[in-house]
Amino acid sequence: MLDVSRLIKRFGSREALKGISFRLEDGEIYGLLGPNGAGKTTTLKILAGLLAADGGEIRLNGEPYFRESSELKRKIAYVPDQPFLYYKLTGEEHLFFFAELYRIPLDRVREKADFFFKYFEFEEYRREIVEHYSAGTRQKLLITQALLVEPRVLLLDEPLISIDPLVGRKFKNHLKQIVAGGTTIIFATHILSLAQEVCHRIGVIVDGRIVVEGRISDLMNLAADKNLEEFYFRTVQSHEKLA
Amino acid sequence: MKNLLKVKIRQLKNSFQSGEKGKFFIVLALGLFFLLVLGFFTQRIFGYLYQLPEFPLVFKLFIAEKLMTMIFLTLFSMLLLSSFLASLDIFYLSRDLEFLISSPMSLKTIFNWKMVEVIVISSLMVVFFSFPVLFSYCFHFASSLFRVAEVLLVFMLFVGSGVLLGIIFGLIIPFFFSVKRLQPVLSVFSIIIISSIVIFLRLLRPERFLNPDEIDNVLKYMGSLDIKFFYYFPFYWISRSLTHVANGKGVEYLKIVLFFAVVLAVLFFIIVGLRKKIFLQLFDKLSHGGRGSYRSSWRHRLFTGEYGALWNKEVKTFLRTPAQWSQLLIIAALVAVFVINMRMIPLPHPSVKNFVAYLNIGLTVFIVAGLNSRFSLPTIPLEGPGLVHLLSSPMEKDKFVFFKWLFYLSPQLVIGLLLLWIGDLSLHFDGFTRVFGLLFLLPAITFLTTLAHFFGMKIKELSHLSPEHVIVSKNGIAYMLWSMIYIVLALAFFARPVFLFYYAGFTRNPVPYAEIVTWFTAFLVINFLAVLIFFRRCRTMWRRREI
Repeated sequence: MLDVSRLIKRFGSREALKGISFRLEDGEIYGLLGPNGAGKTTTLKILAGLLAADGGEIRLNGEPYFRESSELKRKIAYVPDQPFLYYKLTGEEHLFFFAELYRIPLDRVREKADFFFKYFEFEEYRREIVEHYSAGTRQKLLITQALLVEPRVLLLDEPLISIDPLVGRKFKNHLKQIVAGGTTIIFATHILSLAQEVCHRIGVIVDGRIVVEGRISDLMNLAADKNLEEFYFRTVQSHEKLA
Repeated sequence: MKNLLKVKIRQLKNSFQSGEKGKFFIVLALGLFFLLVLGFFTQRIFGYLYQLPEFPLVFKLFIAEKLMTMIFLTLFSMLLLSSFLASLDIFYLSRDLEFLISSPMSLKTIFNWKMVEVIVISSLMVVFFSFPVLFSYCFHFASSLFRVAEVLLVFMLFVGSGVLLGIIFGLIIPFFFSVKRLQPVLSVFSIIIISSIVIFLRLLRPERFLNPDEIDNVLKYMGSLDIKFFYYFPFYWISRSLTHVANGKGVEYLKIVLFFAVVLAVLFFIIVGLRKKIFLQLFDKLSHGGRGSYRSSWRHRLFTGEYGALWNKEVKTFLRTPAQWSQLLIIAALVAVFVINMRMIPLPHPSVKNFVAYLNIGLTVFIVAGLNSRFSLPTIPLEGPGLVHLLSSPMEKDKFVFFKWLFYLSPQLVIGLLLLWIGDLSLHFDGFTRVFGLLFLLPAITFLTTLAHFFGMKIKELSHLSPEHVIVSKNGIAYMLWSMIYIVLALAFFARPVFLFYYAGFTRNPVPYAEIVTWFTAFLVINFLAVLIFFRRCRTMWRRREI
């Protein structure tokens, strides 16, 4: 269970997060929606340990979580919104490197790497350095890397950007499988149809605050909107005016 | 063409206005400093040569011509290589090519624009370094305004010939090889050539030029320098034409200028032909880059766990970045020059040996400071986007800082000891100098490496940076300055105990060991504290690092 309460983050005088709170059960997929600069990536980065929160609290299975908590961080994996990779390592080496930072035995990594290279259809790039990868292949590697360490909490920031629809579908199917095994997923995206398809619950962030949260069907029924797009636009516009 | 120039100027203005002003002025100040130093030396050399009463003017000009041939040989190699590499980059790999070629602009305009870019980029450095040399030459041998104009004209033709030749090679080579794979190899090749030139020039022993006592040897030396093979190259033509300018042989000069102009015209027409026949065809070929296969083994030989992972990553990244490991060749060339210098240093009196040994150890620390500037300083900034994985991983943060520090410190300690040993072999150090060398070198290298990591840690960019970018950044320059200050202060600090020891020997008094030991201990303690402070600050910065 992941419990985020009153999370605050400031960049100089600008308050990027103004007390974000949400609570996720094991095996839940939570979608973070919101306009650019609303605070989605900042929230994920704090959870990944890339940023330090200026206030608030994060608890993972009841234990307080900090940037330095190595043991708890072993349970979290992050897929960034940009292809942050070592360009001079091959895809396979990148996976070995990442897995070793998580102290996963290499035999297990090899086995899982075999599976993912085939599953996400980039086996022929396995021994090629990342520098020569296309944007989509880089994204596949980032996703594989995160899935390889079998995290309890998976943080995904626009994971399907540049991925072809066939592999995208495989990825979504795999997410459903790992969620069934108890993994919690936080999914930041602008693709509303994806959020509708995959997420159990969504939270809409506007100007550093979660303004609406709940099951998509419940939210739309409540607001009497025909689809998620209409609901999203109305919600964001009304809260942006207030902000 | 005019619009493209406007865009370029606008980009330069924008980068100048968006915070790069400080960097620009620092680089400018450093450039001017180098220019002044170079100007000072060339002025001294040509001035000395000009004033030698024993030599007739004809002989002085002959020596000057040979000196200029050596200088222009180096500059021509630089021109050829830089324009070759710049051509590959600008004609085939630059990011704006796809945009430009898909625009309604004519291919001729695009090509001409790219050619201008190559000419400017590849000749800038050579023109910059040539300025003090030409100034000194003109000042002593061709001082009238008309002669200066003649020198400048032939120099422009020289630069043009080197650049156009490089462009031709750059345009043709992708016909045979993949540019993406070729470029790193060529970078290494260019570094090998530069290193060879450095050693070649040192082995020529140019200091013998200016020794009038060795007149017979100089004549022999001149004869050996008159290499027929050089007659076919522009660096020989320009040196020859400068002699004609100085001698006032206008017709001979004009013949060379005309020959230069014809060569340039031929080279230009070859480029036009290549543009029409192969440029677009080769640009298309680039879009179908092949896929290579790398040895992807991930075995641990020295360390296991996180340290093993970091070790493998560091070694593989280093070996697969030719811009990194090829620098070792330049360092090897510098070490060779260091050794040659030591073997050739004349020691008029045995007492001078101790002073030379002392300076030699200081020079070793300067070399290590240079190594740190090239390798330790950029190591954390070069992690670039990979920092995301390091910071989000469960690895304890301190392990990364410690690993990086140790990874770069260990080989430098070995290099420092190696240089000390070479110095010992050449100069036959006494026991005191050996002890001093060890007690000075090892702590100094440790401090300089720590300082380099400290300044590297301060660079907070997440993009893929080049080592050159890091070195000329604000923190890179700060490191260079502080390391120089440290070395000068440390040498000044040790001057006292070194003086005490040798003065006691000179005056046949008992050596004041207690005072000497106090000085040494004080240095070790201060150095240790400095290392500790900077290492801890480095660690704190890393712990607080946000992305």
